[in-house]
Amino acid sequence: MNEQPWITLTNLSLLLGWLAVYFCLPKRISGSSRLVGYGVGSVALIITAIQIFFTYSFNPELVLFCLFSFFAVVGACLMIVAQNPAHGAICFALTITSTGGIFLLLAAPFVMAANIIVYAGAIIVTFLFLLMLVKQHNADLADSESREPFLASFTGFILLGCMISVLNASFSSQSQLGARNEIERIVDDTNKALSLTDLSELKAKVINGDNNVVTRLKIALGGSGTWVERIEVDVQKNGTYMINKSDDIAEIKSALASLASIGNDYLKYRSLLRPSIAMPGNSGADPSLPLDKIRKDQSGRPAMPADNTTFLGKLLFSDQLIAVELAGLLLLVATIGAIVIVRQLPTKVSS
Amino acid sequence: MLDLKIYLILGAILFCIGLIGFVSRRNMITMFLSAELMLQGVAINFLAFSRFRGNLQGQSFVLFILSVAACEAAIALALIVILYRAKNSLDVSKWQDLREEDLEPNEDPEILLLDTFQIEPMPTLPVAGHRPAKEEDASHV
Repeated sequence: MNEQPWITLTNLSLLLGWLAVYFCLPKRISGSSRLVGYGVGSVALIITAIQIFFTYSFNPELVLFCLFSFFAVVGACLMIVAQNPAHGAICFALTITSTGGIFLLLAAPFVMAANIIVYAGAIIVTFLFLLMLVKQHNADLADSESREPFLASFTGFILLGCMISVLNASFSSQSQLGARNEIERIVDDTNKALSLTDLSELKAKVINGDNNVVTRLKIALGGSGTWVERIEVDVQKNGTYMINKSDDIAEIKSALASLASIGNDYLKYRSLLRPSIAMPGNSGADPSLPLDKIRKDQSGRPAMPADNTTFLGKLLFSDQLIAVELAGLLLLVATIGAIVIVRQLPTKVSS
Repeated sequence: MLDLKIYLILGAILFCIGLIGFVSRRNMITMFLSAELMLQGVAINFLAFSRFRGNLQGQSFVLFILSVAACEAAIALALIVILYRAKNSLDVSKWQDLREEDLEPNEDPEILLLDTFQIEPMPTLPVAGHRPAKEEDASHV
């Protein structure tokens, strides 16, 4: 398995982001150096943007994604470092509207509208009212001193680094769907070759110079990782006949069969992102639609239905009717609970 | 074309920033907003999976997250109001007497030092139509 280098651009921007958040968190006693934090933070964002623009091909979706995620992340950082909670609430509204843009990119216009109405419309406004209600005569000491800023930001960014490295390890650089199609083709070829009886024909099919099935499968699996290790173990055990161009047809066939079983395992266990047929709410109205008939966009993603709201409504009021009713009940109970909690009990008059 | 990974990374970033805010800030309102930020990160994850799987169930999950977040906001606001009435402060570390009986109070040395700092009072507004009693009470904000 390839060792990942420690000094990568991702780790560098994570480190800079951590420093930026640490510098910006309010610290009255040691003195927070905001300007340093802003500078370091912008360097981290620039590095990340360069990385994204070099990884993905340039298209409008990429530009919009970068724009929205920039405002979302900047708004979030400004919110957690704001000394005045009212400023924090405004920055949170910026984050919410930017994630609304991300939701639109993810083909969820109804959720975007609901999100903005509930968060930016209701929750933020209520919070601003609350801030007026609890008028603080003095700037609160607690706002200007954060609790363990070093440890807190370190923990957060360690968690973020773990999540990003797991994501990097699980997604190979090629698109998942393309890799899946290639693996399907290889397994198909291998199965076809297993049914052949002529030795020279079999060899021509699977041992095609450097382009033999083992190499093809390794490349399709991303070149490293546990699946490739499994293939290497398998080749050492019984695949050597195939690599050495043995002339025993039975040996070659058994090696091919074990290789095909690895490919099949991959397709079976790593197929979680494939649209399953039986699930309700699939793209396209008809759940009985066969897999290859589902509309896909250029990059192989299944297209979402154009009339998102219609299908979402159908899904909510057919398959998840009880959950919707329970959510309504929950809202009612929460309303009653909030009223009961804030009610000021009348003081008893002692007679 | 963008893949699933980059959307998941964005969700992770928002979640972790919310986490940092929740553990490091003392103001109850900022803590609550940080928790909502973590929910936003989770919502992006759900929607990304929904998009790349071609299935609308992720979107319906986000709608349920929204309704739970609205309930949470209502309850949290009510709680913040009564907690503020009791201690006259939004500082969450003033509620350390909720700890177990045999535990020592966990007081940060920094927050005790804070009393030595003079904090500028926030500007106040006089009642409309009345001349302020003292000249320095008049606000020019």
